[in-house]
Amino acid sequence: MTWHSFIGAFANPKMWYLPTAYVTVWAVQAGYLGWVAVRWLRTPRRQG
Amino acid sequence: MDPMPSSAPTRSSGMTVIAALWAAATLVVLVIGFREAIFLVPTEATMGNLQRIFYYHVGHALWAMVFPYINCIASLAYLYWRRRDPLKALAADAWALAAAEVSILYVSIGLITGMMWARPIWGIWWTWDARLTTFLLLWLLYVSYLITRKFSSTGQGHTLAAVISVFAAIDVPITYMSISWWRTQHPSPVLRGDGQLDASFYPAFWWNLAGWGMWGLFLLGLRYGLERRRQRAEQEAALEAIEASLELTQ
Repeated sequence: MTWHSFIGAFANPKMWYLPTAYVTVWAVQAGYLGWVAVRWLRTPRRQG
Repeated sequence: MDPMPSSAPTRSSGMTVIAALWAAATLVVLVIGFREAIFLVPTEATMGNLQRIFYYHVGHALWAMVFPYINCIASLAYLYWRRRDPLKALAADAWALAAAEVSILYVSIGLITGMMWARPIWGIWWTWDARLTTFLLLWLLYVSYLITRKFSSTGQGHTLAAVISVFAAIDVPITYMSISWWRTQHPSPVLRGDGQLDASFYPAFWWNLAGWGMWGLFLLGLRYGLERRRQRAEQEAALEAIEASLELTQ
């Protein structure tokens, strides 16, 4: 498989599941990481 | 005199360096895994390119059956220490929460990618076979776990959640063995039995399994660190409130 066919699969009614699954995985993982990062920044650090 | 003037910042910056190196190594492994899965391994004979979903699906679904055990062990440690040593119990509770969130993340992705694979191959998004149903049950148990922790008004939310984690740990081996014990729509085990992978697919399989495992451990450590930070901030706020009330009474 090539980049062209991987990206092109989004427009293929029988193949869109493949790139969508990969993008969904990265989006969900990045979303969780972002949520943890925001919470981290909003939580005050102990003073000492 | 401060007995440990510089140990805490040194330890913290050391952990930051380790976390950054671990994250960088993880991203390298994930990029190799992606390249193997999409561009390098051969196209599977019956499913074609759609079979490439497998590498991300299994890379998450297998770890989704490992992180619940970290959650269960930490929960049991919390139950043991909660009256004997509250400080250790707090640390165990932070591990338990971190592992529960990573578990639900991985189970969710396993379910989503599984459905996106099933629809074009089986012609259906979902079927109530033993593997899928017990895996959904695992997801529901972790939703219950998090809801119990967050919304229980009894003050025993963390204890009740720790008990739920034991049920989740019991569900995991049933899920894992379901495709051997019962006839299911789900394929046979890929590392043994009828569904054994051809060796030409191994690079994509192992790189993605390693990459998503490393990623999960990174998230686990990060989430644990966040929970400990929150616990300390909460303790500090409570101490300040006590000091303020003592000043008022004087």
